[in-house]
Amino acid sequence: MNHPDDSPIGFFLDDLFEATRALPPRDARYLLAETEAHLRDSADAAMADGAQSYEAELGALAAFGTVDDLVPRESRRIRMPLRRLAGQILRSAMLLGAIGAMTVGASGVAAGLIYLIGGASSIVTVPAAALTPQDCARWLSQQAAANCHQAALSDWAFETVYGRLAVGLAGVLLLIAYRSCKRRWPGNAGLTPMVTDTAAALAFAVAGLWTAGLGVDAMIVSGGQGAGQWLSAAPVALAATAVYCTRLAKRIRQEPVR
Amino acid sequence: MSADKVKGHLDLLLLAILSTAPGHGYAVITQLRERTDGLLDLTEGAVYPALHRLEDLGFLASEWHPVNGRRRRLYRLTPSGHNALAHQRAEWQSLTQAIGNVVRSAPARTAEA
Repeated sequence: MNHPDDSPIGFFLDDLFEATRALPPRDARYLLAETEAHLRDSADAAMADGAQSYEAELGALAAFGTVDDLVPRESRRIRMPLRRLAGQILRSAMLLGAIGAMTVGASGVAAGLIYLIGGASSIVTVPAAALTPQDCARWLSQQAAANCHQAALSDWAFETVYGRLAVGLAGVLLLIAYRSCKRRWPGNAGLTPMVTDTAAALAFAVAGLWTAGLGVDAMIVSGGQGAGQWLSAAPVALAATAVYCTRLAKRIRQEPVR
Repeated sequence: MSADKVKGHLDLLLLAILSTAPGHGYAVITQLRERTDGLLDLTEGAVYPALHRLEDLGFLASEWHPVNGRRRRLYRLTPSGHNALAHQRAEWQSLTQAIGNVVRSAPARTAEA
């Protein structure tokens, strides 16, 4: 069954709503209300002259012009204040940064599991050139290791796992700060969900494919040594990619059918 | 007449129409079409940013009113708007008179097929 707004004017208003999201809320609301009243008046006048509803609406839209004509003119008039734009970008960056940091934390958990199963060499590799006498003395003084190489492996694996967990914790704190800002300044929305979801999906996809590639490379070239640091990150990043791609697909499917 | 030719004079046209009585966007456009016998070919949607800009300049004020069961934004001229109209009208009359003087002095000649 068709929705009452499944009409040319209804679809036009949907497009206009989407295109005016960057405008200040009041201006966007007024423009939508004025445009709808205008188009309905225009279509009513055509119907009073004998046109059918569908043709009357198409005629009203043809005379009115396109969303691409109207919205840039309004945008030029309004010019979003830089402070507001900066606020939108900051809020979105906080959310995406928090989610990104928490996925790094999740990869730290995965790296910790790999460490428990495969040992430090499954997480990191230590090139011989990196072992200076000073570093060796420091590592060996901090832990009971058989030799400098083992001590370096343990130290680097420890840093990899706990470093990521620390980033994940920072992500949780950033998310708390984001939610606090949202409650305090509810009027200042972030960028549109379509923009943030696309950015997140792309960023996670690049990170996932990149780390998976490095992990596979380490499996082939180094016999698996150090592959864990990449293979712990790749599944988490690819899972986040799948989540954001699903969200994007839902948003695209919710777009009105023309 | 093309939209480009109208664009430079849109503010004057809108102020002139609204100087007689307050009106909403659709009514303004309808009056514009009727008073010019449809000669002015204007994209209707272009009128709204122009009305909003005139309001930003303080030449118009607006209020929402229900008209014929539909909520509409009615625009009216402010005192500044009346001054702006008088100024723009004087400029327009000077311009048309100057152009008319030149055009009238040219010998009239019927276009040949």
